[in-house]
Amino acid sequence: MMNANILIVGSGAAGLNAALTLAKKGCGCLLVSESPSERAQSNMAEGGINAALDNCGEGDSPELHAADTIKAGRNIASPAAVNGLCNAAPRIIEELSAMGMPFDHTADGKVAQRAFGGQSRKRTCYCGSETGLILMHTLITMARKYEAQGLIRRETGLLFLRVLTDDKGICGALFADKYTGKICRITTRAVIMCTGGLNGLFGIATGSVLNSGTAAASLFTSGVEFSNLEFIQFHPTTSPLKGKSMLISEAARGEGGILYTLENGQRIRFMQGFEKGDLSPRDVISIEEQKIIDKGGDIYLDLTALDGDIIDSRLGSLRESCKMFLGIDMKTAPLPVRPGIHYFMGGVRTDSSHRASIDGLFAAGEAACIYHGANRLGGNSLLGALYGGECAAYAALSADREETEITATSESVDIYEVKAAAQQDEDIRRQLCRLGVIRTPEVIADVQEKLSCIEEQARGKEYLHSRCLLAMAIAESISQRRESRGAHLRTDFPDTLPEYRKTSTVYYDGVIKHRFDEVGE
Amino acid sequence: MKKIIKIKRTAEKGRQFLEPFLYEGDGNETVIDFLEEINSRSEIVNADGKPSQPISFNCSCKEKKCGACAMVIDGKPRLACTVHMRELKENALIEPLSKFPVIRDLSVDRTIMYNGQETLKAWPEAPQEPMDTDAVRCLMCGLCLEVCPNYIPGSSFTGGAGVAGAARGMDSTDAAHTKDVKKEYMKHFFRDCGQSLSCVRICPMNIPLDKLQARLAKKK
Repeated sequence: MMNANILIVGSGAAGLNAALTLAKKGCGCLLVSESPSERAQSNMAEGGINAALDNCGEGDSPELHAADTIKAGRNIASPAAVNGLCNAAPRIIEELSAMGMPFDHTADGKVAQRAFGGQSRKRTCYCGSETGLILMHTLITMARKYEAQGLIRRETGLLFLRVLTDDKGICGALFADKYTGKICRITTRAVIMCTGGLNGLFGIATGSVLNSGTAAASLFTSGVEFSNLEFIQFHPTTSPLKGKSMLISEAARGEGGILYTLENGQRIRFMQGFEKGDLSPRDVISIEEQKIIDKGGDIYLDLTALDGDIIDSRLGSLRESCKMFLGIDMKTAPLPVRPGIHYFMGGVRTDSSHRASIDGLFAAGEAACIYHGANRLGGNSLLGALYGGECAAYAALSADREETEITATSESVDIYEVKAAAQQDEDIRRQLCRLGVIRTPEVIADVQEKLSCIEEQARGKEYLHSRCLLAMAIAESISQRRESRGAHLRTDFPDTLPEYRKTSTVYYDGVIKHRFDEVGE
Repeated sequence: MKKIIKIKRTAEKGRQFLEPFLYEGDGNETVIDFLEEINSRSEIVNADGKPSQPISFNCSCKEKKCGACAMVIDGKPRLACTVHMRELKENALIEPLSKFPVIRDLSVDRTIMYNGQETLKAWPEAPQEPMDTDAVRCLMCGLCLEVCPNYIPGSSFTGGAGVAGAARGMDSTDAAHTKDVKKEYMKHFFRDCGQSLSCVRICPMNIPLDKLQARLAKKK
């Protein structure tokens, strides 16, 4: 008899770590995902994982890590949650090492740490430029042991359709087979959503094309509260490919790469006037880049001055990717870059235990809004996913326990309709993409008006309509925050205002409702 | 650049047929971009002008980091995100991997690979040393089994992915576990491997499977 109490949706770093946390406690779980863990976006993370190990002897501490995280998030992430994250980080690295994760090491046998943007100390642990891939394969390897024991049960090839609720909160979820559309119903009292960011709503992002936004849109339409949707991280060094953009890891600058633009044939290092220069927080650099691009300028990332051995040993796979996909060898030529959508600081509103607004529902990883405030530090996303998965697992353990059961139904959905809603919502994408790095009042108002028209036409088309509602919620969050903070820059309200040192929350109750909440303790 | 590309599709009851599609572009798109472009057409029409259905295929990262998009392109098993359209000949064929059950069109079921990892007990017990850096980079894409002359579809032979898995499993301090993994490795890889080394040549992550084999041979 399968003892699978908790349902986890999504098998990236957050979902896998939630499953491992439960399994280590002897509690079973059902890990449901559209694709195997090897395909999850977490595999694409390059740069590393932050932890104040102080292996560089710079006097680092979890307190400094937390202070950098809060500062980069422009003071709207919950200090209690961030402290929990940063205090846990050294233990998490230790546990990963104990699982056999092959971090890069220093000559004296310590986990190596590199400089990353917006941080006061070198604290990013890494595996070359493939940290996400190697982290995921470590977790997958460990999870397999528990799969063999039956503690972790996987169901792959299922698309999340919606949560089921009753008077006690969550009572299950509906999924569809991604090939046949056959619906299966899973009854449970605790669901952890680890479904990643909202890439698909915008179309062009650095992450996986599997992160379509379908699950988030469905949750939003079901009345689940979302927070801080106005904060979208544009990574300053991306390069457009067809239908997505490619990330040039921050590690490239951490190892010594420099940014410049050309003015009358002269190289201008436009970040030199800033405190942390080319390693400033991502929001700061992206805004400066966007100003240059708006004037017709181009941005380059130059690594040609770096020691070739450093590129080979620490950025080897990144160099290969640049050669293959951009046709440029970073050892000999600068890389043209621009800001590109990389991470959604906003997501399902959770408390510091990762509980969402409906009883029995939890969220972790990029799907949740908790640690990153108005701007995320590089190296904190994998950490947030791992720690968040763990916290959500513990919180879900205390939720009402009831056997999780999978029941095949005779119903089915037209799977092409579900997928087409994600693939063919060009109109929504076009509008959302106008809400870029720099936001003007005219564009915000126009996007809101256009999205309202699209919403009217989409009524009756369930999947398209819910995507449109979530898009409107993003636009509403952008419109309501009448200040500039972190990744949210408005030309009509250029200053950061103390009265907006708040979390914005948006939800759907027949109409889209918005409010500001105090930042959690 | 204009080319006709033939795609192996699945019809009712699993019958396979070739359907031609027109590619137009500068050749710099990848095969995945081309497949996505077809699916994004408001009305999908094949190169013969006949209406068609969206093409089923797997894809996630589009940057050679996830192994989802393994398929046979112009006769060669490849990750489709790494093949540019300029490399394809006129009338080139895009097919699903041939050694796995086809689910639909270019999507195949690679469950057998995951089962193989479980059979091998491909996890370390009480690891004290880091796992092998190469062995943890296996994407489970299936290209190694696709090209392997010793892999009979449906058999328990685990191929290159099994070598990587066993290498992870044997990085244990638990001697009994190491012995177990070795036993399964001998049974589900070594016994049937003809040393063609085709897996070494095809691996998109360049995992030195031959060196891993040599290392595993020394383990007791």
